[in-house]
Amino acid sequence: MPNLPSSKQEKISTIQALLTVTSTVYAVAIVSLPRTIAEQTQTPDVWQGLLLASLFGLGAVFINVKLCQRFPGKTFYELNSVIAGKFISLLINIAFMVYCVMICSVVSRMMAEFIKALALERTPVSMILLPFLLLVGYLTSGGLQAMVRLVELFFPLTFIVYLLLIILNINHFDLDNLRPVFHQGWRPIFKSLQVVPFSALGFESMLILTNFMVNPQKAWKAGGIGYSIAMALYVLMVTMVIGCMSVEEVSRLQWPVVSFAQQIEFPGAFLERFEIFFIILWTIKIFMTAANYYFYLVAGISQLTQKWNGYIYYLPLIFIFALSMYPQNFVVMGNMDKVSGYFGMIICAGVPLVLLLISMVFRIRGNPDGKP
Amino acid sequence: MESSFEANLDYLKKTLGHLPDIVFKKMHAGQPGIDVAMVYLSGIADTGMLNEHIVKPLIATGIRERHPQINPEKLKEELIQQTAFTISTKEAKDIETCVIEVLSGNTCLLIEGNDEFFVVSTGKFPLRSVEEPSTETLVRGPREGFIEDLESNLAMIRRHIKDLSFKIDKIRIGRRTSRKLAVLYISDIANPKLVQEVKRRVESIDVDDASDTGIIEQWIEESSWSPFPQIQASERSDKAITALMSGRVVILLDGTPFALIAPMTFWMLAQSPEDYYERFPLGTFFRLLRLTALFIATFLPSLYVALISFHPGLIPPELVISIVSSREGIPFPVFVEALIMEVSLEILREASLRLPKGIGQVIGIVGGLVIGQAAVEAAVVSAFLIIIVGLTAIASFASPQYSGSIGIRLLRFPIMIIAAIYGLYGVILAFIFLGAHMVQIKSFGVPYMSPLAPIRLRDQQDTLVRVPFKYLKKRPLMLKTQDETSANRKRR
Amino acid sequence: MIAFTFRSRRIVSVRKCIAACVACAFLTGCWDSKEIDKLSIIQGVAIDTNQDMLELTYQHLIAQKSKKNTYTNVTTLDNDSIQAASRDQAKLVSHAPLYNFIRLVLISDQALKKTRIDELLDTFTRSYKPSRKSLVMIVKGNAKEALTKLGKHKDMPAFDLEELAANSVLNSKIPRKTRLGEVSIHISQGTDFIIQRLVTNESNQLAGAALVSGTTKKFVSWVNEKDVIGINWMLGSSKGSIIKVEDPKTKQHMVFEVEDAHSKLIPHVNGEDLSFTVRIKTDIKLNETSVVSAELLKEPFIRTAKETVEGEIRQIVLQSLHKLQKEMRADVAGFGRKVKVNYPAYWDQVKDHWQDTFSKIPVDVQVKVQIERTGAYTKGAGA
Repeated sequence: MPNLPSSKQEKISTIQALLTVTSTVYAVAIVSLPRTIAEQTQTPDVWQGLLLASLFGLGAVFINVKLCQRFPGKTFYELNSVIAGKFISLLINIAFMVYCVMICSVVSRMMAEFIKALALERTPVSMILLPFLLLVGYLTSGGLQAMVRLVELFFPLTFIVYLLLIILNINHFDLDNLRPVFHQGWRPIFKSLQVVPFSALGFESMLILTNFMVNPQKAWKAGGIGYSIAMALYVLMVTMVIGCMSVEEVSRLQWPVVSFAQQIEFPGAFLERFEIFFIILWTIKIFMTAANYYFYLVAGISQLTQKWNGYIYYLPLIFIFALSMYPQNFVVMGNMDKVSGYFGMIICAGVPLVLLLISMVFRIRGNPDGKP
Repeated sequence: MESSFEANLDYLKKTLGHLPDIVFKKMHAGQPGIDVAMVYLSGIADTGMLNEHIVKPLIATGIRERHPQINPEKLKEELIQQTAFTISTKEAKDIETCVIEVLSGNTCLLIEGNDEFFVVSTGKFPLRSVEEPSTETLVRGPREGFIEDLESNLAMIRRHIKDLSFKIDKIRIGRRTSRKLAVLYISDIANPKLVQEVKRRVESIDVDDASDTGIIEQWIEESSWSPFPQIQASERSDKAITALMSGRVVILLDGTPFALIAPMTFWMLAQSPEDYYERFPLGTFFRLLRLTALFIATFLPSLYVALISFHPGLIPPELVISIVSSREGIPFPVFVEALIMEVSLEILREASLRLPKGIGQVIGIVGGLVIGQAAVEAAVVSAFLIIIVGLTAIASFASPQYSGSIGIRLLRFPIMIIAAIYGLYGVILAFIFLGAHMVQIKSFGVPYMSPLAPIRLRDQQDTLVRVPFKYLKKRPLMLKTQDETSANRKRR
Repeated sequence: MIAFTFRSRRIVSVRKCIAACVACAFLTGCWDSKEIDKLSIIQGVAIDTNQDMLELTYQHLIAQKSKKNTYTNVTTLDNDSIQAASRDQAKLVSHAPLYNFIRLVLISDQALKKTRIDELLDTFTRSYKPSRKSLVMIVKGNAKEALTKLGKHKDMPAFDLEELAANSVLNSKIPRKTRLGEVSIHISQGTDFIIQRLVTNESNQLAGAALVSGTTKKFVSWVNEKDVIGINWMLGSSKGSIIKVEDPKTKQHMVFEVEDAHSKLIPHVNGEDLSFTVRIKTDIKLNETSVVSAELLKEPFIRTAKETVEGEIRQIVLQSLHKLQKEMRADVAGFGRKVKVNYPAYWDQVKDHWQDTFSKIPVDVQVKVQIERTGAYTKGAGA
């Protein structure tokens, strides 16, 4: 049992871990992802880059799981002090927490921007963010169990909305929009790899979740499948958006998925506008992403302080609120997104890789029975 | 020996002597005579029963026992084994329990030379006859509802369960009223930890009185700040029996027809015994229908407010046009209008509930038809809103769980307020909040949203849907029962 | 056992403080609440020119409880900005406009000659409010005039026009309805395209199409009905329309309904030479005939009918193709895109002078017709 006050001594099942990984994968990126890729490639070769990135992500999941499995009963926050020593591990932990704060802020701010643009034009962004963040805090107060259960409860809903969005657009699909494949070789794909990895983040959940699992030996299965589901949905969406609207159009649109949702003609016409409906239901998915990252952050804080109370799970919201209110416009927001992406790559894939190598070379292992 | 008898009698006289209808009756049993005393309250003890079942056997024992020196030990044995001393007796050792028994209408029999007392159940209270429960009526199914008397209720359940491991644990609740409370379970199905926990919590209740299981419920539930009922209350004996069979624990309290069933999950708000009595497609359909009704009752007014005053673009234009024309000349904003109607509906409901049945209907007609019609014609509210409010009201009554549906009714108002601030975003926030709340609460350690969160695939067959009984062989996994199989054990 | 660890939740003081703050913050709320009856629903937009100025007309709907719904048209002017003209309406209309229900954008040919189509439609596609599903039509003459004509069923003009456009599937002389989203895609891709053309006389009438150039993004010319039929065949969008042919022997007419139509543009690149095959496959059904001695279910009739129809379609397509290639030099059927998709390398060579290339490609048209049903009669009256 990880020595984490927030865990409430309860373990999570394989399917819970799987769904949590799926929902952690950066939900806001999907709305603009088709554009960011199409902007880079300028050819219909959009999905290959994403596919490559998800393979890379799968690799990262593997690294994270292997690292955690070497130290049964320890989270990422705990195990790196075994490998790297007290001081460096403190630095790593703080870096990871800063990363969580950044992602959480970016996600929340993007959500607020969607809502503001499509549904609530005159409501201040701060007021859109405030109840959202409080809800995140409220959910986190229930600990890991509440979070994974909420994921289980809402996953089918978001999944259905996502599929509905794709299925209802199927009559707009034109294969010609996705051809020709590879006619400029690998260049555009490598170019797209500059932007794609940010949306592939989410594998770091395994750093925390692995040793909360009832069967940590199934962690690779849970993480791998969960991550693959999320990325498959991403690839599907990006392919569909390009297939329905062509690269030229998509690279001009700010949020292609919103426009994609807009062109749906709902059967029976009882719902006039699908895009508002979509964005509002998508809030649930974004909420789960934000809540997951927030939990990882709070887990770290409770790890450092060995406490679990209202201050721990509500106070960090102030930082997130401040940071998400900081960007003045989309340029700053884009930069923040980029910075947190690079940062995440280093913290969540690079550092665990190094730690794993060190622990393999020096044969550092945790106690096999899980007792600290 | 004698002194103890006298001392006890004195104690009883001291503690109970001030009661106007207390009777201390001393008798001699047998020839040389052993002192026997009966203590009872003549107001509530049945004297006929007293004569038939205590006095007569005592005399008979005395006559038969010709032995000059009668032994108190023997008298006791004789009384129990050889005479018509048939009604339920208890032997008690503690004089304090004796006092409570006397206060409950039972008769206490003290025998000289014996440390023990016999408590003879002679209490007779006016009982209501067994009727069809008024809150949970079914079209098909048993019409037997619990009544106020605990013993009759236990009899109703016992009559149908002839199982050796069916256990009834009785304790007394209420510092001053000392009511009887029974915890029922089937010992080789129910999880012993659950039973233990229920008993622990029930025993820890320290109140002066608990006149309904509603009070018990609120004392033993986990999250008292939640609007959701965490323990099921039911008047139906068949529901209690089904619950016992699935490994749940039933709590009965003397003085109320409502039994408590623990643990409860959210989905039980949409379940009724009829789901099992009717064929499975109907059962499934009813459940989904009730869940939809719950959703409508909670969210419809707020969705209306959100759509009309925030996102008219989401509604088909033809509908918008008819709504706009129906709102012509109405002075209030949609939110205020909806709030007025919802509140007046609640007042109407509350008013008609408290009135005798005949007048209640009149109120319904006056309130519902006349006021509604007049309000629309006077352009105070729009006709469209009347539809929404009416639909909400009907939907909120569709839940077979009364206490569940009132909790949901209450939720409507805060959600309407948040919808008036944030529109559809507010509604979805409320939805997330409810989700986040419901995954956190537990009923006796069972997560409230199970078996959907945490997901238990096996329990899905009897949650949202109800599969045919042929496939419904296992008891709920979430209850962690000891005996998992409930049917077709030998099927191979 | 884990699941049976019991705990009751305490309300911590932090939560109370936060709750109080939030309550205060929300009390200032209701930023976006607008009463629906204080909004003016806009159903249709017409864009005209008026002496070098852009003239914008909105059709506002007036919903009434007792009477039938009516409308009012409000016209405003501005130099070059749609949005500026739109905001000028605030001076005239007391209700705030609700743009979400714009279902129709009418553009007069004059306006489209003067201003690029992407400029005209920019504000509508940019704001997310009017849907990408809104229809676009080009009006010959005065566009705002079209918004004053009630439909044959006495529907309001904007509604009527929307239904009219949807109804156009029954007639292949009109192109399929064009949505804002499709226009936007055409603009992005820089391809030529056609839009339904509306003529306003006593009542509104759809007739033919307007050709918009993908390079200049402006109005080029009208496309007459005959050419539209050909274009519809090439686009594979003739489903639901009819085709009328003459029986070669009896010189009497037969009318077929198109039950299904597919077309395929197949490019062939041979070195530097580009050629196309247009392959059209269609299933038709006999709807009307005046051929007397026809054994409708017999093989000879079916064969001749098939051949006649195939010849007719081929004829129509070749004619309109000729016109598109030689006169209009406009690639509205998407030939260029096919080259791009199938021969990207070749496309890179020709894309800069595609218009010239297009006008010179030899095109072969292959038609395959399947007669599926002949209706209630099995033979003509004289047979």
